Amino acid sequence: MTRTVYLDHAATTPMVEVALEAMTAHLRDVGNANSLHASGRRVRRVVEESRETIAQALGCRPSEVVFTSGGTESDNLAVKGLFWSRRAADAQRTRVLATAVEHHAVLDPLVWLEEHERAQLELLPVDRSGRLDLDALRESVARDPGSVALISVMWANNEVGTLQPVDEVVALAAQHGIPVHTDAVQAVGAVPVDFAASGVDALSVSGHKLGGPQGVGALIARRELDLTALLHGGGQERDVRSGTLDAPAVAGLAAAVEWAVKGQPEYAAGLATLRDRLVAGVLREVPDAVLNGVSTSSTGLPSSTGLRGLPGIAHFCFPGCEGDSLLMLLDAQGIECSTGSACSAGVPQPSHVLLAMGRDSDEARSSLRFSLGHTTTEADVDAVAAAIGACVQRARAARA
Amino acid sequence: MRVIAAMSGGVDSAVAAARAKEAGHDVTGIHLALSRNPKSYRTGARGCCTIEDSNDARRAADVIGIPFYVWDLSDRFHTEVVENFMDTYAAGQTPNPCLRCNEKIKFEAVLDRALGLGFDAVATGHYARLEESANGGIELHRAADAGKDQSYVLGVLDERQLRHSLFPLGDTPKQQVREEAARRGLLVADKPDSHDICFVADGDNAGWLREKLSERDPSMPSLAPGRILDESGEQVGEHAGTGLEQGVVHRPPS
Repeated sequence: MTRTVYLDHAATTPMVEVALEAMTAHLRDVGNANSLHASGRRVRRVVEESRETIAQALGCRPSEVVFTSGGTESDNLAVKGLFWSRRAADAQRTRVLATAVEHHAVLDPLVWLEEHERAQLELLPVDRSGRLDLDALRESVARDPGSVALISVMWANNEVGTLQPVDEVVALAAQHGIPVHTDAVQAVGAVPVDFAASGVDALSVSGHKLGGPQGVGALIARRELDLTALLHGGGQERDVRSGTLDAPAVAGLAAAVEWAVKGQPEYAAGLATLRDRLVAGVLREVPDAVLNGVSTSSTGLPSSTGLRGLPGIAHFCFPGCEGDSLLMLLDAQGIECSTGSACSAGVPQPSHVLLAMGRDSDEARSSLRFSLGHTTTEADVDAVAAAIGACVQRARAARA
Repeated sequence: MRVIAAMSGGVDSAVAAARAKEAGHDVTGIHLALSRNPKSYRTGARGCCTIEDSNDARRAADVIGIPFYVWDLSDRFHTEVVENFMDTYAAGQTPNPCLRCNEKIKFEAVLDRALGLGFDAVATGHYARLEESANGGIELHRAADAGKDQSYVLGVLDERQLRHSLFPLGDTPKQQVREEAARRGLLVADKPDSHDICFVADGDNAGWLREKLSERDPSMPSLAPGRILDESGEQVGEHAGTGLEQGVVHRPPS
């Protein structure tokens, strides 16, 4: 059996030891966090201490942490919940603004709102590195600020790793009292994220992208923010989210968030070093490969002065190749990566992110994402460099 | 050999893949995404192009223990098969889309890609046999199960294509294939055979053709309903449009 080289951490990253311990410590606990007896109180305490840990790590108040089933639910709650409450308060607020490179967990609810709730969706353009065109946002808001229900701009892109100008978006929105949601699923632990300092109104977090368990996440939502619920029932989470909480998973999430935020500076520096080594290796073996997302210096390597992307993502186009072919050839050698964000039906579509960045359909289909994480070693990135040249040759032959 | 097993999600291609692996080949399963919009194709057991079929193929690959991928050939399929189907009807002839799909998709697009990627052959669940001829050539023969024989949809393949093909089911009656699937723990063992054109979602071939052909040319004469007369000019019936009354394929795609 070949050694597995796992370079798909942006899809899911292995659980860190502290999260495993925190989670497994509670798997045998009896009790519903909402029960009034001693067992219920014990489980409730686990949940509330987890909430406090997350609040401490992310710069928010404990009451601003709404636990969810993960990033997708957090994003859905934020954009639909905000749209409905903002429009209920003022029927004119029907416009929703977002970048064209949002994750499908934001994009698809927005399209749904457009189709079913008569929202007017404006997807804002990005430049060739995937960064929001702030002038376009400014113009769009200025056209009629009173009609904007919300703005959703991701903190960092999941495919190419580009960081978005969240500060500028918040400053602009604040002039008109427009709430801002940000999908920070890929950002927490990789770059500094402080909820209060950022000024955003709602921020999505996912457990399994930062070393916690799958199936749990949180929406950090400002205490004053009015959100319409998606899930109705017991009203467990601030009355905006119902359902008995998975206390062991919540404990695992909290441990992972704390671990990820505490170690972020050294972790990011280490990842960036490995990422740059991977990029250099790939460009050495395949000189015409194109690095996406981060601005590059004349050598094709990530520039230390320009805009930086997420430290753990290296996203390339390999001209003349199908990304799917490359993925399959690398997979056969135990090297695991991705052509973009995982798609449920397994039917590959050209990435909307690459298309929005001005690439054509062929270029979009030629892309491959290597995403590094806390288990990545030099041997892993060197394995990519050793394999990629022959794989690219084969993939080109398959397309000829 | 390194073998690509084309897996439709049906029982035949699943058993074919399992047999190829058992024969000692290094097998990788693929499912072809042929529709631009999976919802527009036949659902459930009847087609080979729905998400459910894709999942069936994936689960079969899990059970067999081979890697599995989905290959998107929807654009090729649309131009080579669907449009050709309409063109042929519009020209007053009767197309066989399954034959066309084998010729242009499975044993051209898939085979070429597989060879480029370093594979040696493509295995499918077709009921047909390959034999070496006396002069070293390769011959395509009918399957042992005459009732399931599909050699006629493979007759368009040339020598090179046949040399890179594997038909592991050629010697086996269909009933035995189903029993073998059950024995191997393949959940598709009792999945019904497909008999319809996969890209006609509701099985109404004439209705589909009328819609698609009239999108192209609403005044196409063969779409107009009319009377059927005998030699003496006596009306003996009515037809829905001469272009729609030709027989459609009478045998199953695979």
